[in-house]
Amino acid sequence: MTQSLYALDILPEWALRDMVDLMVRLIEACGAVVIMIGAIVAIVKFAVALSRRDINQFSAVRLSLARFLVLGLEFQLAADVLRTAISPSFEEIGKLAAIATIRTVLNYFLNREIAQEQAEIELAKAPRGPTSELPPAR
Amino acid sequence: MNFVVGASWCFGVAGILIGIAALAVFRQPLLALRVMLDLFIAAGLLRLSVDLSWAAIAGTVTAIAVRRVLTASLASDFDAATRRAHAS
Repeated sequence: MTQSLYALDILPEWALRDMVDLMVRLIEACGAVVIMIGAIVAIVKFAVALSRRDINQFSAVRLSLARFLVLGLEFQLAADVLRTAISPSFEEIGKLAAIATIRTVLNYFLNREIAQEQAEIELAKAPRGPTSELPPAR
Repeated sequence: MNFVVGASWCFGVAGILIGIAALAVFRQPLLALRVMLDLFIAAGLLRLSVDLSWAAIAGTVTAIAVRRVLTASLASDFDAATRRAHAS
């Protein structure tokens, strides 16, 4: 007598749910750790820049904080995508959509600000010529 | 979980303190505001990763919206003031 083996027998729903939940927690924790490290490093560097009264260093620290935030957001967005696989209720899906929207919009704005700030820092470092102009403020 | 929430509160307080210190040292309100709101956003994102309530979502949205509106309006105000100063 042959015995058929279904996918549900190998990987039941509860096992898949547990596995995805664990991965979501791990990835979300990675994002939180990145944001936390970035914020701690930025606070220390802000304090140093304030004590030295160095405004250029202050702007550079803002740039590095924004980069950490973007990296953390990428992790959190990855966790959001995974979470959609196991969200059972409409309430949870709604919250997930709101959070994913917030993170995507913030990611876009932070990337734009990083590019703008980078251009300003490079402009400040470069020798001033007759054609040099400040980038337009947003 | 509580550790992350505590850390987010610490970042919020640090944002206020560093913003005030930056305003006092550099005399540039826009820079001080940007730094303060950057740390507020870091705090909001941290809180959002452990607290999936509508209140946390609304708080983060408010912080981001306030940040965008304030920095945009202040930047345009300061640009206009600089242009007026150069023109006169």
